[in-house]
Amino acid sequence: MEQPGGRSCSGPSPAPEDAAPASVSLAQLLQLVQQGRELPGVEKRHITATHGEPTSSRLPRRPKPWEAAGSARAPAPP
Amino acid sequence: MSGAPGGAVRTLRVPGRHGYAAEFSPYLPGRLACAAAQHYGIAGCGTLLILDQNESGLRLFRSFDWNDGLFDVTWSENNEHVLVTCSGDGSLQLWDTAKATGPLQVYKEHTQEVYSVDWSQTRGEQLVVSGSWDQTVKLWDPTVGKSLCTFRGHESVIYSTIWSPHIPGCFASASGDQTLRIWDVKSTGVKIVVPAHQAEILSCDWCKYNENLLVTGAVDCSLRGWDLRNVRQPVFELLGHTYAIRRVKFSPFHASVLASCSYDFTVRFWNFSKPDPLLETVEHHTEFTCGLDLSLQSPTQVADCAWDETIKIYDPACLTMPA
Repeated sequence: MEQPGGRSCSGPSPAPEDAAPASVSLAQLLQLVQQGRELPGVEKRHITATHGEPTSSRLPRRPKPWEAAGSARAPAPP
Repeated sequence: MSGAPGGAVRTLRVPGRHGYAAEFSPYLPGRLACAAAQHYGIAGCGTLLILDQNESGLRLFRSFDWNDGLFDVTWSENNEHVLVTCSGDGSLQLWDTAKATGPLQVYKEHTQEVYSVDWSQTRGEQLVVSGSWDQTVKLWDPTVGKSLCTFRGHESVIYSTIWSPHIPGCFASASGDQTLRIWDVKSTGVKIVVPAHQAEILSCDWCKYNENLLVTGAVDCSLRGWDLRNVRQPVFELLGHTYAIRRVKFSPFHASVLASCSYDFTVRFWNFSKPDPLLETVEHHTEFTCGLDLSLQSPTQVADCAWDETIKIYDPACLTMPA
């Protein structure tokens, strides 16, 4: 099965909104995109960075399981 | 799944969001991040979901929206609050789970969808690598606004970029150009090109116990193991999935165990050192299963997410039973 190509779809069109079902299938969505129609219920956001500083870390880094094993053999696999 | 000592499958349903990636926190047992998109990632916004496990199941700790779908997530290795996501609008975002709103930073350079982000696993560095449909890989220091380096060479979209857990500065990429490529941050030219499949490669991962071994998962439904000392033929091939393999992960605990998820809706567990390598097939999703992770703290615990709007944490029987 191939990856869907070309995600971009045309901008919002002035066409009246259809009474689309709340949950649209992938096949229906792809058809709407191909037809250049507006997708139902698209949630638009205008989020930007806060440029804040990260909360200080208080926990030490944990060793990974393969680091703890070091040069020893890994546990017996299932 | 029933009967497993780890207990029942814990599910969180997130209406209107299709999960693309799931990653356990390297710091907090039971905390999971999930990158999700509205409308299967075709249009609309994205959401980063932070989940915690408790006795009764999975609970949403916090969620953050973004302007476009989120396709991957990676936790910081030096701060338990911090993670990075990547988006359909070509940008990366840095988030802080201890803050109610975000993101802290946005990194916009890729000119097409970014499908993969990974935070370096080796102790000496704090670097992020991103892979994009613009055919480039970019290297980032999260404290710096601009990328450190851009790696060119792939001839099609990049689906996966993963740091070596052993070799500092070394990462792998998997592409629609059917190659697995190995890179080193010290030079922009590729180190090794492996023509690994005759199909798009959607995922790759490094063995945690053999620094020369990687696995690729492709649209041809196969998983192939590659030894970097001799890439002319795979060292193993795992067949069983009936549609494209979307993600593959090597076990953090067992040298020859790995897990894969697929557009065939299943998650499969394998031990490539066995004559019959398929250990178990988990069929609890009703749509493409895209996200998969194996816990770093529990040798039996697995998380996945799918386009059926659910995120699941469970302990498959094959990981809970002794050898």
